[in-house]
Amino acid sequence: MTERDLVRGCIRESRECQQEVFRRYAGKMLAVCMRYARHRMEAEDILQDAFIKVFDHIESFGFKGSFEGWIRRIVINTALKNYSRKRFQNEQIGLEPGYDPSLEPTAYAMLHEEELLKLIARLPDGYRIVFNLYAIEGYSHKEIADMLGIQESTSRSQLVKARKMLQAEIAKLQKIAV
Amino acid sequence: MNRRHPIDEIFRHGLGSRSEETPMYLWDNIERQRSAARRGLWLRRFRTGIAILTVAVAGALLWSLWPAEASLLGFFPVPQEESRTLKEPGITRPAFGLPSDRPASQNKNIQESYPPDRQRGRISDATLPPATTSDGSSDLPGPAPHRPDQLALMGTQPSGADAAVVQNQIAPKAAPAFRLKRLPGRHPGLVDDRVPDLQLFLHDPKCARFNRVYWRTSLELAVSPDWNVRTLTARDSEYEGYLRARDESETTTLGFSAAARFSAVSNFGLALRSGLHYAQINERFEYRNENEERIIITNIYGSDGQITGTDTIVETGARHKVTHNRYQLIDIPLIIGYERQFKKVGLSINGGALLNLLFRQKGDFLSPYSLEPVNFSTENDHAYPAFRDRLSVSWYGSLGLTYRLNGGVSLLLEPHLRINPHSFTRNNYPLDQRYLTGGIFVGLRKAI
Repeated sequence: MTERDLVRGCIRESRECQQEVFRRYAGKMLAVCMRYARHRMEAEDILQDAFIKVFDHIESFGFKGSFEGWIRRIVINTALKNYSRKRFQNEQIGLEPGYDPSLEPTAYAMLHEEELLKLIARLPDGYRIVFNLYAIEGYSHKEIADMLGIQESTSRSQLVKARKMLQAEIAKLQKIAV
Repeated sequence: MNRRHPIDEIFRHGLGSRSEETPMYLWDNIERQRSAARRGLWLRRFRTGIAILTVAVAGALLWSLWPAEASLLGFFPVPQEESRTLKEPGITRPAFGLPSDRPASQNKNIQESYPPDRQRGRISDATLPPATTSDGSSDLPGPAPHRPDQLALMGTQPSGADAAVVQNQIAPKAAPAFRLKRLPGRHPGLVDDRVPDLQLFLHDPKCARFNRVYWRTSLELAVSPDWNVRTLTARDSEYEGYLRARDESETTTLGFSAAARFSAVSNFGLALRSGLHYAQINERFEYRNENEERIIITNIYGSDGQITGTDTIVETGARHKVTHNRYQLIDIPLIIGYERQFKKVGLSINGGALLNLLFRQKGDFLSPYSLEPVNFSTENDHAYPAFRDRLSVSWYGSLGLTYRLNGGVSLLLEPHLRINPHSFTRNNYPLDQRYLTGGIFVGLRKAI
């Protein structure tokens, strides 16, 4: 079944087409949700909410661009709304670690996907969101500021702080490995 | 920013195209939630339809109680007794006429039969002039038969014509339609041209009937200054500090409201009022920080155009921000009351519900996250999502005073109280925010 057939089937509320869409894209989208959530349960909640929105608003897709990209944007927006709902809670940011210039970039390449995921999960919510949007999704600071309702400078500063924290965590892993 | 920063590259390559194994119970949950949402949608549509139908039926019932004519009287009163002589074939009764129009030979008899204290509008056998035959002969029949009460007074038993009268009165028959008309016969001049053919009693004449219920309708326009009392409560004890910060940074100022209402007051005092209410709650937000910090990050470019580093500048200074916040509500009032009129002054007591149609906000407050000013305005897509899109039902109570002026216009004075039993803020916002509003409507009521 082509992507176009799938979309048309979903518009007709065909259960088979909707299930096929879920089967094809849920895996990648869950991985996206895992990067924005603190833990797997939260990631699954975000995924469920996102796919409900996908099926409720599938008429608005319009066959412009990639269907996977359209779903990904919905998943990211759902993750951001989830973050907005939960950002009332005070966060324990702790002391900012200093940048260790002795760490070579190649040190990061030895890290497995699971370890990278864990490193991101340890970041505070704001840093994690900005890092995901900038470093992995590829949004600019202006776009991030519009999406999160923050200043562009705040986005920049949070990215800097996120990188510093990740570097510090990686340095700890390296020391433990040694 | 350098998108080729080593950390960014590693995470993008490592996690950008990652896929997770997805359990199928997630699909079951999605299906279940969508089905429940569809059922809920149909249930809401059903309830809305029932509500519209109920309002339509209530409106139709109210319309049916409305008097069709301006006149409240059914029929003009004058009950008529049946006259035996009218029933006799060939016998006609002349209309009342002036004695001077009649032959002198009859005037005496007729005058004798007219007691000086004849009841106005009543035609009884004792007072009617003797009947004449249709051929116009001058021979008059005997005197009119006596009524049973007259016979009782006289102490005699009814006989002949009297017996027939008594029999008729024992078994009364439906009174015929009475019509004054020009009669032919012996005394054409006896027709009284002053009495028109009114055709009043096409059916059984009845006593005056007044409709049981009638309504006086009017249109009311009024404005009111409002005093709002705000209640802020922390939904969790960890937000007590945030609550204190908001309390210190915001003060409630004078608000106002306006009302355009249709009012219907029944003759027994029941008052029904509905229309549109607008209310605006005003507050002042002030933020002051003598050591505000602002971070400015700029890129440092190398000779090849690549970003080699960043330059972070932290500025500190005093910041003072003042915003006039406002909350706007449009509601439909459904008010029931009791109203009495004392000459020119009317007094009423009213109570009911205000159904919220629209709720909009504009302004700034402190962010629970950073304790810095953030915008919460409805029209701002990036606003802090603290407030609900629509409020629940609020309760309304008032005392009304009207003073009738000229031309169906009355002056209206209505002190009122409005209670919002539910919070203005969403459940996931740390603080519960409610208002109690008091004011005095001043306006005009015009009868329609």
